[in-house]
Amino acid sequence: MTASRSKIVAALLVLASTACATGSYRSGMPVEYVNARETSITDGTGIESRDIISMTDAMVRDMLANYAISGRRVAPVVILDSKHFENDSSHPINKNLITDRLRIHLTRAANGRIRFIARERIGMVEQERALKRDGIVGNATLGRTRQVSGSDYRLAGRIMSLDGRNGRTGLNSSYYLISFEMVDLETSEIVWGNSYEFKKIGGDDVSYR
Amino acid sequence: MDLIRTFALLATLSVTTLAACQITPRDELVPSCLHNPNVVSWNRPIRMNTVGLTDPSFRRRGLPFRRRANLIAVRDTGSRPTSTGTMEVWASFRNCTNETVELDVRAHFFSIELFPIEQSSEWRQLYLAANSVGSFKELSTDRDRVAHYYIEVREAR
Repeated sequence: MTASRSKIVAALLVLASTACATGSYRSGMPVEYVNARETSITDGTGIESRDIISMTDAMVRDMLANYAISGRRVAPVVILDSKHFENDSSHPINKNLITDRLRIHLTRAANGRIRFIARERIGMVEQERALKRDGIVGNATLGRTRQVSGSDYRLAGRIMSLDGRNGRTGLNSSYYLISFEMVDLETSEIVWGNSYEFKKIGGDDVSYR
Repeated sequence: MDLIRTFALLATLSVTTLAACQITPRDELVPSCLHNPNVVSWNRPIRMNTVGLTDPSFRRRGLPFRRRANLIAVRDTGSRPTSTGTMEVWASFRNCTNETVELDVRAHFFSIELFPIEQSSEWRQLYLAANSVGSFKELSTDRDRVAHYYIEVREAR
């Protein structure tokens, strides 16, 4: 009777240790899709998908409510890319995640109220224009224009951060301020500006790539 | 024996009184916390141009039904057109507790036929200090078809 009780206790101990091991070390965990708009177990104190989605959504809505940008009778021409969007924070991030999402959602939502030009793709455009003018390729359906389109406004911005670490608790904190400004390319006037800020505290050491 | 019974009775009464103190907040009788005409509870049909509290936990339990207060009260909600013709919606909240409350709030926009004309806005965090008020504002992206809105509130995540 005592022997069988010992066996049961031993079995329970083994089960408990196995459960602990699988709980902390999740090797072999199947890949699963998670909601990019919510926090997840791998989140750190850096800029996460939820921050990018929330930030760009807020900026799109605010730009579309700005008269200078989307209220004019003739839609302004805008360059919106990451060339003048600087990362001054301690956190590595692909800036195109922010500017591309902003431009794509703004293009879809603006529905003609704002016109965007792809200055980043100017090489691609010039190459095709040269082929057309040399008679190597035809004119396609839209015909020719004398020049490539100029622009009225361009997005500029900056990602800034203030980081801290509590030596006693080991907790990290990061405060982020991301500024967005639309600059008039003739007068240098800032016709629209907004910012997005947040602060995070966490103990886990997450590396960003 | 009688002494033990008396002590037991006194102890029971003390525990009951203490428990009552915990579930009966100081500001229980604030009218806006008891009556929320602009609010749609989580288990009721959705009405346009209102605020929906999606978490049942916003309701304070343990009080008689008629006196049940809300942890969060919606003071008012409304909308107005912006200079570009998009819709700006807002809702102001009151924290009916003695602690800071963190909320996630977002807005949905609908056409006159109640068609969802654009994606809902992303959740925005709203921090309400104890017994304080705070406001949420959101803008639509559409300008020509937007006619109705619905604001959703949940506990911050």
